[in-house]
Amino acid sequence: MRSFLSLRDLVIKNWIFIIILLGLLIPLITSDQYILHILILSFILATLGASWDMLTGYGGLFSFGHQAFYAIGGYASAIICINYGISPWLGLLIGGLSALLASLVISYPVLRLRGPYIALVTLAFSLVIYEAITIFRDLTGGPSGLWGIPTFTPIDLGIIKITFEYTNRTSYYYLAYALLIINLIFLKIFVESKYGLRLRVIKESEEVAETLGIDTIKYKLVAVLISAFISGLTGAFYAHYIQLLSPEVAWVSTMLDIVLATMLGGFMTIYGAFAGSLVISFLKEYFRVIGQLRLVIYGLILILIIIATPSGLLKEMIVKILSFKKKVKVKNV
Amino acid sequence: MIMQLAVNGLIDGLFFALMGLGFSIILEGMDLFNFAHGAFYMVGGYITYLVIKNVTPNPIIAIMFSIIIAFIFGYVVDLLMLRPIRRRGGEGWALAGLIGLLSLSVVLENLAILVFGAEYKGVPPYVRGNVVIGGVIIDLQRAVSALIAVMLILLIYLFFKKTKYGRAMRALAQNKELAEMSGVSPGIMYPMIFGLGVCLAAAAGSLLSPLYYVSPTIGAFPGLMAFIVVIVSGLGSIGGLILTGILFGIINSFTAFFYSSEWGYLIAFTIAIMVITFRPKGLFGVRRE
Repeated sequence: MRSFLSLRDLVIKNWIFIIILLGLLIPLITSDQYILHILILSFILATLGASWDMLTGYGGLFSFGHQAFYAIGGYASAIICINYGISPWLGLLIGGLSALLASLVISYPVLRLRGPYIALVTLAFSLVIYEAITIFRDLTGGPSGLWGIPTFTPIDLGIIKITFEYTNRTSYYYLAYALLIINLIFLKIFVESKYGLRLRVIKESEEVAETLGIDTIKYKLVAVLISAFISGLTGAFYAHYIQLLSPEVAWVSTMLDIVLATMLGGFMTIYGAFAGSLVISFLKEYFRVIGQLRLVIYGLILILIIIATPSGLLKEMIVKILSFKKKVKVKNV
Repeated sequence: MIMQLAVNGLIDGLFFALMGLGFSIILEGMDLFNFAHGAFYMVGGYITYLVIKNVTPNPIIAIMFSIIIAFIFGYVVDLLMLRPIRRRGGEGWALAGLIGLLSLSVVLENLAILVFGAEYKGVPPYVRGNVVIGGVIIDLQRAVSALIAVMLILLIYLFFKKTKYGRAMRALAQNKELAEMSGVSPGIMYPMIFGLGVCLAAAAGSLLSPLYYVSPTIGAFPGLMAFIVVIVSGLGSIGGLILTGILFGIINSFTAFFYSSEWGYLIAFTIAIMVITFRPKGLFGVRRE
């Protein structure tokens, strides 16, 4: 009994590392390219979800325009890499920076408005971006899409050479996974830091924050910039992975995926988006056989989550499982 | 030519105003952004198509039918989906409701693809021919639809001014606590407000179905335009709403002619961002800040 409990303690205390390890092992277990592809897409969604969770869950800035940052990052990196022959590795940075610049523009209204108005202004912003991508077809390819985006150049480490090819997605997998884990850890540290704490004070009450001497504009701006940068970076990765972009990435449906992943996994957890996006990506892929009904069920699930457990279905389930021990303790007291 | 475009824009604008009116009724009465407005527009179009094809070719009956069904549908949606979210309450209600409604529109759009297929369905026009006034050609079908839209807007105006229910809804929008004290029950009124709002969207879809085809995604842009018109005009002024609707109708008809319709939307969304930023209560808004 004792050893069983300590094993569980070990698991509970180090679950992050165990999950990271599991993720690293997957390409060794399976070489099914299809599964790897779905996992890569889910990592992308998880990174987006985590950056949205930081801004919305902790910062209280309800963005409904993250698809715009995602699309800007993807398109900026793709266009520059196609036209100027810049390495896609640098493109990742360019994607992040261009989304950051775009967020500077939209942050002017976002930092001054409250509640649903932020959702509206960011949504309108994403629609402007969507229309702009459709209009400037010389640059973006318009509705027929942007083709021929270069993929990542090989890295020569001397001993091994890492190449990025469609026939073997293992290297893409590790790259996406690295981006996800780095961002998750960074965001978790950020929200647990003094910065994150102050951000939560601002979310609870801006008046209180101001009387405490917190520069609300500054803290909110930093949150917006970080979130946009990560989204842009993710968009650039997506562009160089898929090598084809269409205006649909800037459409509201991308945002719905982000919201669903985060809500499913757990709002205000950062990690939750990871769990949620895994579930969604596999559901979406395996529901393909039932065709259009897939999206109907998808929407209904989201509605049920919103009605039943807004703080996150998976989070509540996991908390229930893990808190079994705690409940016993409470009884003893 | 200029006059022709202006007249076309004016008529389109009246439909934007009708859509926007439904959107603003829900926003004002319930503090909720109805992001499924476009989906209800689509539902209205399909009901009209079904009634005209299977039941009777009488367009008035088809329009009435789609309004009534949409009202009942909206009522049920409120009871089943919005009420539980509202009960849980909190300030997150508007955001949770917004996500719920967006998901609902995904469900409705894909149900429509499942049931009717992705292809376009045509509703035959019930008035044929054109009138030429001072060099401007007006399609009679368009004019009749616009006339019905204006009548509906007037009816809603009278409903809010004269009837008991209309006044109760206005009271609820102005001050919930005071309204409750005077015997207005939000539990009874909210489903009605939502039903009323979405049945106007369905009415617009029904009125426009003979002009444009009906398809599962047809509601996306009318729904967005309703949202933009309400944001720009602000709440509390039906006249302002109609003016803004016409303004956007004219912008759209001119940009669509000289450039492309995407430019019209781009300009509309940019105007919306500007208005939210610098005048959150809207150009004609009388309440809220």
